[in-house]
Amino acid sequence: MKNNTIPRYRRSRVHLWLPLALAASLAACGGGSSPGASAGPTQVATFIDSPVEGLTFRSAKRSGLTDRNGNFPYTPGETVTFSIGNIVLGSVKPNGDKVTPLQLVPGAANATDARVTRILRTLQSLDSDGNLENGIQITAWAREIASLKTKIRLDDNKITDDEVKQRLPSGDYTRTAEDARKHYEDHAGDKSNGYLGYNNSGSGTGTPVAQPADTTGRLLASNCFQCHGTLGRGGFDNIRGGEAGEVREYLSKIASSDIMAAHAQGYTRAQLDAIVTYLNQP
Amino acid sequence: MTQQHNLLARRRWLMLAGASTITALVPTIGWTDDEGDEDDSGSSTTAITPAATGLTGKMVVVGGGMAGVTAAKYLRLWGGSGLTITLVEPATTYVSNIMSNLVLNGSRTVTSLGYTHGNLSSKYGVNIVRASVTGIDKSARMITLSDGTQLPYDRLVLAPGVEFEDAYGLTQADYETRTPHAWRAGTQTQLLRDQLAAMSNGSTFVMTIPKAPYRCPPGPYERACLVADYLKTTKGTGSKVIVLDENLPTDPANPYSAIQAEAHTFTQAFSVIHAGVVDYQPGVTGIQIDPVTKAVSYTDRMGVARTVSAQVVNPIPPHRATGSSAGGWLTQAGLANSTNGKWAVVNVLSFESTAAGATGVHVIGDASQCGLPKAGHVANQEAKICADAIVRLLGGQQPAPAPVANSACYSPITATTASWLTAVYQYEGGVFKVANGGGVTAGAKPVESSSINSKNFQQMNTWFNTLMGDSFA
Repeated sequence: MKNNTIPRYRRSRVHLWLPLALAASLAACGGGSSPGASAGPTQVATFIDSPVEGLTFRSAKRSGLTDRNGNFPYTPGETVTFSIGNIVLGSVKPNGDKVTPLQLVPGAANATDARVTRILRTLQSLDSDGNLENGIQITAWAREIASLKTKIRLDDNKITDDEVKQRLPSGDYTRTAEDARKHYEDHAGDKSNGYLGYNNSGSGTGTPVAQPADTTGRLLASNCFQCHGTLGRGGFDNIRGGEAGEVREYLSKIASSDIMAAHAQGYTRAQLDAIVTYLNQP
Repeated sequence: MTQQHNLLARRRWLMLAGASTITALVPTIGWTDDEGDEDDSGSSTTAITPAATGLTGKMVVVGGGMAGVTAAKYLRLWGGSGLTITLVEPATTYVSNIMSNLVLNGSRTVTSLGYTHGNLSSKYGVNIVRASVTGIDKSARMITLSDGTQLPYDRLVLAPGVEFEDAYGLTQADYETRTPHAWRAGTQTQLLRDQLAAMSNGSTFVMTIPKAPYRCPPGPYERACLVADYLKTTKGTGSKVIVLDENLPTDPANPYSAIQAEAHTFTQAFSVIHAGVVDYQPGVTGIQIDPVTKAVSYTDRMGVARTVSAQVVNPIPPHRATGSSAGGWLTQAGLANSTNGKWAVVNVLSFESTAAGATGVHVIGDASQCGLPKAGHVANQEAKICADAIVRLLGGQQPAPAPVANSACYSPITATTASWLTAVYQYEGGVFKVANGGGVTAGAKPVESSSINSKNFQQMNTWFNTLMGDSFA
């Protein structure tokens, strides 16, 4: 309370580094060496279903979390195991700039293999913002929940779906097998982010996102953020930057059959226009 | 929320104090992974640049639940980096009430519903003060905290939530140890879960619903459904869930017309899906509960006195704004100014209190009387309306002349299916009114889903995670 006259915000951003740096060093003591340190020539690959952030990778020489681009470092020839808490997805010797869930299951021909499907459903169910198109983000919370029960391997034929579900925060998959495979097939060919390198030291320090400059419609548009994320960047759909106008399509749908229709029809046309104009700003 | 948790929080304070001379700053983000008992909600680590407003001033937010954290976050985003924002909240972890009924059937854990204020401090530069409010001096614009310190404010946002009254012959100690209400998620939720797990087939669960307004209108009916589903799927079909609702049917010929939200859905749930297990009794009076024998007596709506012997009793007692009881800090500040003295009446354009001399004091969330339902999703929007009004007022403008609020929620009906409810509220003639059909308020009603299904259950998780992210991340 002694420092009320000093703007706290600027100060806190500076001091944020302190606990982050400390946490990083604790993590290094606890498990494996930090990436890049005496681990031989390093290559970077992307884990792709969509790129998956927050997946634990572990080899004999190093361990860590995949970064926001889904990237992880490896030394050619070494075996890398991927996991989320006590859910082990599987292991692979990476070769090139990509790893996909299919490669984690020896002998699996395609995504219809039950073990591969389980990996896909697990990953996609754990995406924290529910928007697979912006990548899959696995949170500390999901890793924590997955650590509450004993270790299982999804590349093991004997594992059942029920055993997997018990380790998910909601107690169930939120993606059907069919949807999960379709998403994988649509994205398995995506380009690697490997060229961006591995950088997980700057969590939370990415380029800050700007708010729309013209604040007209801002308060109205904030009614969208509970389900579409702050600034419309997540949740059911990203509605920032060009997508917001799709809301008008819901005006002709039956309200009780579609929550978005029910919601959209509560606004006047002028209010919807103001919301769309606000969200469509750069 | 536990003793150990408080110790850890204290240790965190000490570590920080040793590392830095600044004691009012608590960036907890670095420790959350290690402790393994908290959640920093949402993946969004991306920072958002605060608006460049040039505004300054001391903003104090009381309460670290849905309303309070959203107000603090959006005051920063919309008010800019020049504001000093302080959040006063004694608990290190907020346990989400939303989804907490899913702890009762074993689908979730209480731990999985925990959210910290780490993002508020690390991403939004909010000072977190671990204390509670004991007094408000409106004329000096100063609040007094439980640790004796005083905190000055230019704008004060109160989001203290609700407290539960001693009712039906029960005390707070009974709620804590024998007959949990579990209407504030936490240890009572776990206690009720443990009691349910120990129930045997053929026994009776009794729950009570207070007269509106109470927190989360569909919540009690959702709970009745989930308990019924749990008992019949794990214990056998002989168990009963007796729901004693103090609300009266609006249509005397239809008992289900007493249901306070999603009447179509819950009529279907009680009379078809959970028929034979749920016994729904609206319009009851004179409820008395023996916390030892678990005997529940009441008068049914036909005037007949009845007594049932239950194995587990879950009373949801009447609530009131925290601090609004006799001698409470909200009452002493003159802010509990509803007719019954239980709520803080606000001007809904700014959520500023209508009490005399309360300029600069805003009340949001379940504690306010503003015409909107008491619910977390709604509280999030109330906080945004309040933050927007404060930013405009600080800039010498008036609050937005016609704000819009909204409500949305998903209600699980079984362990795998759910319904939903949504409403948009337009400002009209000084109050919020539900609107349908292009923003028209005449004859409008909240819209509920026409079916109960597993797709809704899946969407519920997206809704919940996103709502919590918009509030806490």
